[in-house]
Amino acid sequence: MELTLEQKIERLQDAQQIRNLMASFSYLQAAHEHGRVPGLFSNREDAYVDCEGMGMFEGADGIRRFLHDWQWSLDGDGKGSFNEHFLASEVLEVAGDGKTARGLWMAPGCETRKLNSTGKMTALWVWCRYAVDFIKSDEGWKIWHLRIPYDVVCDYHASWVEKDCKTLVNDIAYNSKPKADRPSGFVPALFSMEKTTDLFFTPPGPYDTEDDLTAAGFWMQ
Amino acid sequence: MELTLEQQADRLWDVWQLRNLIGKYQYLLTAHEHAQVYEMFSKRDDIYMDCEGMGILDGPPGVCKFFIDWHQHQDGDSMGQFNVKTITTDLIEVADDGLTAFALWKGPGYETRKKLDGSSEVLHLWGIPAIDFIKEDGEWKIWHLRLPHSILCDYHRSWVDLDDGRRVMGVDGELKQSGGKPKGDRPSGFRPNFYSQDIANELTFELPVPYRTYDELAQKGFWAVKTFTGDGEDAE
Repeated sequence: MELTLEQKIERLQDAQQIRNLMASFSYLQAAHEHGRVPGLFSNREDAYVDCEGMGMFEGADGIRRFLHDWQWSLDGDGKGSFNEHFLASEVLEVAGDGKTARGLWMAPGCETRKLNSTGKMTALWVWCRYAVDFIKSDEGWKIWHLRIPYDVVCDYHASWVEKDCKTLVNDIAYNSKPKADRPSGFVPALFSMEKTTDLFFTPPGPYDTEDDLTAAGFWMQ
Repeated sequence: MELTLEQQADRLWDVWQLRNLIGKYQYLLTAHEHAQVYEMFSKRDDIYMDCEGMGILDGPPGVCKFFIDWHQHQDGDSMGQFNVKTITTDLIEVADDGLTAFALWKGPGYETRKKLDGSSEVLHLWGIPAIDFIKEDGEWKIWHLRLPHSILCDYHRSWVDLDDGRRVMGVDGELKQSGGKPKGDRPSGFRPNFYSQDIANELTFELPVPYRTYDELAQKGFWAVKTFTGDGEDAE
């Protein structure tokens, strides 16, 4: 699709608005503003969050269960519970028609969570990725599909090689765990000595319309 | 305010310039080029630097005190002194009139500082710069720089290990630099944000939103701190 100068400027504005939308997600999550995060998502029935180890949460109800209920379940009264991730290594493509977009970020960070095995708040390094589809609505750009694969989770004092990441994740305490609507749509990415690291999600390339997003193999390896 | 095509392109250009300005700020800080950092600020009298734990240092003398005097004091002869922060997660809004801008970043990083006993310590120090910018003679300048932090700990003890006051006593208290810390002209304009098991992290600054002019933004109380109930319900 050949774009006019006006369309190119519009696509650049779209990219900047999407960048700010993802940053809002990051700042609000870190500040325990879980009640505001679902508002960043599309209210379409086919919107979802797909988090490694949890599964896929669909529609407004599923998104709220994951981003509000589950986060509060991890946070308890919020005191000492800490979740600071940043956005890096952005690859972002807006469709030529300006109606959808697709982005990939690495999100290194740290968290403080209570562990069941010790009953204590514990400092963790947690690195994940965000593989995201966006859709333009009457209220501006919204998150449409958010996929969260994890790279590493480890204790401050023991590396991801010294302690198995999955064992550590399963030790994190919570009040109640929401049931996912469907199994996760991607292969687990979390580091393990028993597997290799691959691309997991293909960095997005230029595309024209929403139909191109559903082309086989665009995201998944 | 409906922007023309040229104005729309100008605002995108502004965002690019601001991103580069703060990238340059970080590289210069890392290289101990403190005088050049000071030059990145506006020449206005109402500039300030508001750093967590220090308060607000007002005007050109205050900003000079922070970026030149304080950083030179920390660095000494600069041998083995190390201050690397990164710039991530930018949320930038430029006014429609292109005269001001407001932005947030997350700035994770490391420092190496001398301890009282002469040895060196490696620190994790993550900041969350919240910055107002103003355009002067067509060039973007830093107007107000607020610097809350999320974590401070040494390499061997986590932010949880050093909680309950030991962060200050165990990190700040052991550092040679701490004696020369400048005193703010007035109290900080934001709540302390360092990690603590006794508090729930809150939104320190409201997120930048599109706006037309600085006056409009000031009326909205843009950077006002949000309240938080901490009982599982978010306050309005």
